[in-house]
Amino acid sequence: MSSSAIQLSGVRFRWRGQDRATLDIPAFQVAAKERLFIHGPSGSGKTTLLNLLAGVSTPECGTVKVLDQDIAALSNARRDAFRADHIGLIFQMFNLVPYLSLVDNVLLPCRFSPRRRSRVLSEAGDLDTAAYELLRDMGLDDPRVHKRSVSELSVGQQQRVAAARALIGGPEVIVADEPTSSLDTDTQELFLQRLFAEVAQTGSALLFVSHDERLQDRFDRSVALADINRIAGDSVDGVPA
Amino acid sequence: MNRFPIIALAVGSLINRRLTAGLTLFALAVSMMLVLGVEKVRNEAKASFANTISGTDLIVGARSGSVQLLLYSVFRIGNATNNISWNGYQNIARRPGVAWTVPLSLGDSHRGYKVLGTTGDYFRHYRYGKKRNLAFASGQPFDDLFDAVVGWDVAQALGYKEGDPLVVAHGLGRQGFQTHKDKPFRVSGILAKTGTAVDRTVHVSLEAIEAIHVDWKSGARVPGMAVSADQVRQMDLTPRTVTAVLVGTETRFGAFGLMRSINDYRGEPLLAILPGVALQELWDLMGTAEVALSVISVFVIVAGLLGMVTMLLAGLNERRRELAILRSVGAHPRHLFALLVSEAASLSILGAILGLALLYGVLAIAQPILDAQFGLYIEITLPNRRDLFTLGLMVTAGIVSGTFPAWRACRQALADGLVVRI
Repeated sequence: MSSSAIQLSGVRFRWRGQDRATLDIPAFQVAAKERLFIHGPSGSGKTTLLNLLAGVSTPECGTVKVLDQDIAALSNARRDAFRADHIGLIFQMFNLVPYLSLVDNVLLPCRFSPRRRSRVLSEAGDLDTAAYELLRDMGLDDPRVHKRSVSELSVGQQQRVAAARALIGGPEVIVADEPTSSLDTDTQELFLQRLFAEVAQTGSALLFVSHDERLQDRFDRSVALADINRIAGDSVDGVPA
Repeated sequence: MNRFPIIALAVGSLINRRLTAGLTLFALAVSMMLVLGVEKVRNEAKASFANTISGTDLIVGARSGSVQLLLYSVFRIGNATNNISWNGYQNIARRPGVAWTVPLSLGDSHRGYKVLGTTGDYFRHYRYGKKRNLAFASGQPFDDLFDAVVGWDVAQALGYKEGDPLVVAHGLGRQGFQTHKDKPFRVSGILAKTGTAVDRTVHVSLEAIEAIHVDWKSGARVPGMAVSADQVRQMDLTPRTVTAVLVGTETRFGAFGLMRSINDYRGEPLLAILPGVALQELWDLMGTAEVALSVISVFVIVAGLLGMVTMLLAGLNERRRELAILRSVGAHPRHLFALLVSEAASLSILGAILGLALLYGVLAIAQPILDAQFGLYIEITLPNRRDLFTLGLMVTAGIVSGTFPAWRACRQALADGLVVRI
């Protein structure tokens, strides 16, 4: 196993049509199994960083390595497959596909990643069992909840389903983008506890992005995005119009 | 479920939008039904047309147009402008090469149905469809002077049974016109269904036509000259004129020579036509309407497909998060492309199936109505190769038009990245 989950060096990124770069990160690293807290206000380049890590965008220059694999060196299709295999993502809200059941939402990565799928199968025997176990671990063990349409779930429940989806098949890197911002303090606490427990079990590295600095004490390490990104200021985190 | 992940997603997504997807599906089904239906009616009308008369080599009438002659002698549409004299008829019947003749006399009606005066040979020689003879559902050909044989539709519509009385009206009006009620007829037989104008005809003997008109002149009863039904039996009822003659020749080839010699006959102006040629001529007249129908069908399909593309495109904006989620779990843009195309394919295939079902439903309802109102008998058969080809073509068109929203979805997903802000 490699020692670093994520490694960025000399990365610059500029949205097409903009003169100014959004991101300029000379060096940044996340160790394997490390739980890292990144805080930064909105407009500090979080979305861009996420897109780069997930391989949805590629940097103008520099290298983004995930599990020692240079993302930019892969073809578009391989990059998407790589993401499916190795990265679990959780967003702030609206994480679920409305027409899929709870279990099918959790199993969604297994549709695109044969690797995670076979891993689930070898560990749990069958897909549904694995999904139920993860949902139970995330505190969604009420069978009535399982029968409900995902749009009827509370935001807290939706986030826990999203976490289960990110964790299924044990990807090496979990990236969470403000996953607790839509939750109240109690639910936040519960969500974090369960997420940590699961991450510890799968041995994944956790990259947790939030503007809420109160949470940072619970992580192995905390960095401010402004400290690693040389481009400061607001409104750099633009999405092309 | 995981074996065909994209198809399963596409179906789930459509079910999630069941109202709009359902309406789109219905629109597609209706357009497919219309295209198949138009094609069906066109073919059946053509077949029904061509099947009205067969086995007759020539039709002879007073000189007019060939289509007009065909229309009044075979389809009971329109009127003859002139008649053939009895001598003229005899002349034709006696010509060499003539195997049989069936004289036809038209002009009267019975409650909206045309009355045809003819001879017993009519039931032997008149053929329709694939050389099928007329068959009796019950009863027999006319024997007595005032016997009448009614077609299947006449019997059904008016509830006639063998032995029922029947009064012929003078001229072609419905009711309330002057009638030949002094000389009532009796139903002696009912013909089996043919799907042709025969079903809507009342057949009587030529002599009967003569008999009911002995005390008439120039379309009105001659005052003071009432001849009773019994008296008329004693009179000479040789017809003075006939409207048209169906001719069978000994050899098929002989029909051409006979046609030419009849058309050149100097005794009176006659017109002989080959039924097949005249039928084709008549169908050609409707060629424009046929083309128009086909063009309309194509536009109906285009409208249906536009509806589907619109629905898929309109859905894209509200599905931006859904597509971003799929991207985040590893979907490549080509997966999203496949998803949208699968949705279009599902709608098109379901539309084709539903359209076919609708077609048969509508046909089942419309069949008796078309038959009764227009004399167009549409046989309900399994879809033929051509129908399946048409459906396949429409499904293909549906899938191809689905690539446009699919392409837009990919572009949108690539521009959005993983975090969609709306």
